Amino acid sequence: MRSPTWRGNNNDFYSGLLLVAVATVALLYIRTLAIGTVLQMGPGYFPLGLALILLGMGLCLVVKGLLTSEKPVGAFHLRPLFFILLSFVAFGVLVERAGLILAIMAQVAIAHFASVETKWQQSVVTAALLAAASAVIFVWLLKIPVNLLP
Amino acid sequence: MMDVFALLGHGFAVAATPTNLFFCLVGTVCGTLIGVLPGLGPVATISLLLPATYALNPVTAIIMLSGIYYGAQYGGSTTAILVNIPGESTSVVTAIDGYKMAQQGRAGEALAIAAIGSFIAGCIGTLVIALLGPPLALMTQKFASPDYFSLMVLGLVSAVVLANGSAFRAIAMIFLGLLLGMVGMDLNTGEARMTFGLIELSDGINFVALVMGLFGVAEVISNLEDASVRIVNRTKIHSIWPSLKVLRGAWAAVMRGTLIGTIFGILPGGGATIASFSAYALEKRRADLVRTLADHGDSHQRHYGADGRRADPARHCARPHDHLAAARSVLGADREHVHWQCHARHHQSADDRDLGPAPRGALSHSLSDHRGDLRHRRVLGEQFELRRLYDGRLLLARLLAAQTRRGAGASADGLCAGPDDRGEFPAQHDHLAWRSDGVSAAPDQPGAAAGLGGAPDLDHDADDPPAPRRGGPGMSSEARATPRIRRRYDLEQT
Repeated sequence: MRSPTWRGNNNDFYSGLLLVAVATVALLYIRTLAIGTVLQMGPGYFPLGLALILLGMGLCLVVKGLLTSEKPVGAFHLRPLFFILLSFVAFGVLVERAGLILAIMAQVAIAHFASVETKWQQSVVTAALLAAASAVIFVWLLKIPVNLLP
Repeated sequence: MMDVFALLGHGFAVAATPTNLFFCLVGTVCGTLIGVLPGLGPVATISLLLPATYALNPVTAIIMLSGIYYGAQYGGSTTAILVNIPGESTSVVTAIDGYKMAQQGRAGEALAIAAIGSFIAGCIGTLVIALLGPPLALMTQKFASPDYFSLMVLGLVSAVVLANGSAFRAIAMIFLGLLLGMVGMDLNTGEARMTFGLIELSDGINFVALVMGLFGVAEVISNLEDASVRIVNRTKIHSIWPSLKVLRGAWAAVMRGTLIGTIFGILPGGGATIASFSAYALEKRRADLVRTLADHGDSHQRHYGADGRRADPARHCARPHDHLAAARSVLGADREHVHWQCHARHHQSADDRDLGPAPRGALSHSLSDHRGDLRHRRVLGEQFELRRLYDGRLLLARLLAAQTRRGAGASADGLCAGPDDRGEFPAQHDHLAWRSDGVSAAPDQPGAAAGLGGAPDLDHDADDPPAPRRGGPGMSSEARATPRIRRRYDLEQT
């Protein structure tokens, strides 16, 4: 993490970086598509144009962010970002292998660490209630084809 | 026209079965309960509860989804008013004044007004859409590719025009959304584009998944970040019902909000956020005008004191919340314009008028009187004076303003009042403190201060650079463009 006084530490710089990253990934995947000509457009024609425009705009924003000294963005909080996303991944991985109840338990357990405010008693109650409610609503009432247990 | 009502009647007959009403209730309750959770707005709530409607038949499912939508939309205003956390971007403006009312112990009133306003606007808006539905439907049948293209361009352009924050970034977000819309199978060749080799992506990025990520998860994470600045309001809610006076003061504002919401709701690319911000901007402009015109004299005196020295009470409570800053950035230019206008008129009135007998008489006549009557008389006096002095255009504006003042009474201060400008009058207006010279306005002061002092003061740090909140209104309206583009693109595909 950079210090808040760093020159490029503003909204423009980071949104530019995001656009450049997305455009680069898109360009990598567009490589394999047929581009075609204006009269005979291939599947890659329009995406290529969009990705190039996006790349240009992203670079403009990066340069603008480096040149201007706007109000700096606040510090990044990686902890909630990491744990919340990890909890989703855990749910996705577990729900088909270990069943709905264990997946929900695992998700709540991981999300517990996202905030310093939550107490473990709260998380236990939340996990139990959430698992019970999901089991009743989605599996029992709505008959969604998900295993409750492995 | 009668056709429409017959069809509406048929619709009501279909909807008003016990089963449907029950699921409507269930949807509204669930929607409110989930919408109350900060970070989960209507879109996130619907996407969360969408699976719950799979097992129902289509009509019941749509009814339940509508209930969820309205419940969640209203649920957002609850947290906005009570704890100053707007559940989504549309309740940001609710938080600005609603939280102030809650701090004054008027949380119940604010909640009730929000609910009543939502209900009235929802009913009227639905009726308007129903009436405009048939002609709009006729029009859509004649739509061909060029029209869809134009509609999409209009939507994209207005998404840029109405987006708050940097226009360049808004345009960039449009292109980002278009690029995301490219994911999936190419319509003409059937070739998979940017699917990372995943079959699941050949139908494009799932709209609900995208929305959940952009709004639900992002808001949850950003709320966890802001944990330190959350302030819990512990005042007790005494009565949820607003007094009749408050209702009378609010109904005109509700109607204006309904009109703005309906217009922006019909326009593609506008949306609820833009509508709520525009309505708030209008109300604030009105409140500013009304206040400046109707009691510039005593407000000036209140803030500068009898000797012209500024005696500003400590109304500058620290509010570290970024969404207020974002709101300020949206409304800032507008407000400066209003300031400028007010100042111009101020000069004019100060130079032209001879401090005529009417206001002075009205004031001295009712010194011991209660405040509403006082203001009423003063307004009448101003009207009289204005008829003498000003041309038709200005007269009309002022008459309207004065009439609202009279009709809305004290409640207008708390409800439609935005930040007040009174601290902004330049020093050369000191000669305007004429009311404090000849007449002691002491009875006026405490009451007026109680009514007006609570209005949020957004201006005290207007010089600070506006700071759009990350993941907040500034960002989310740009991000919001993304799913919309996706939807339009779907429109083209089908």
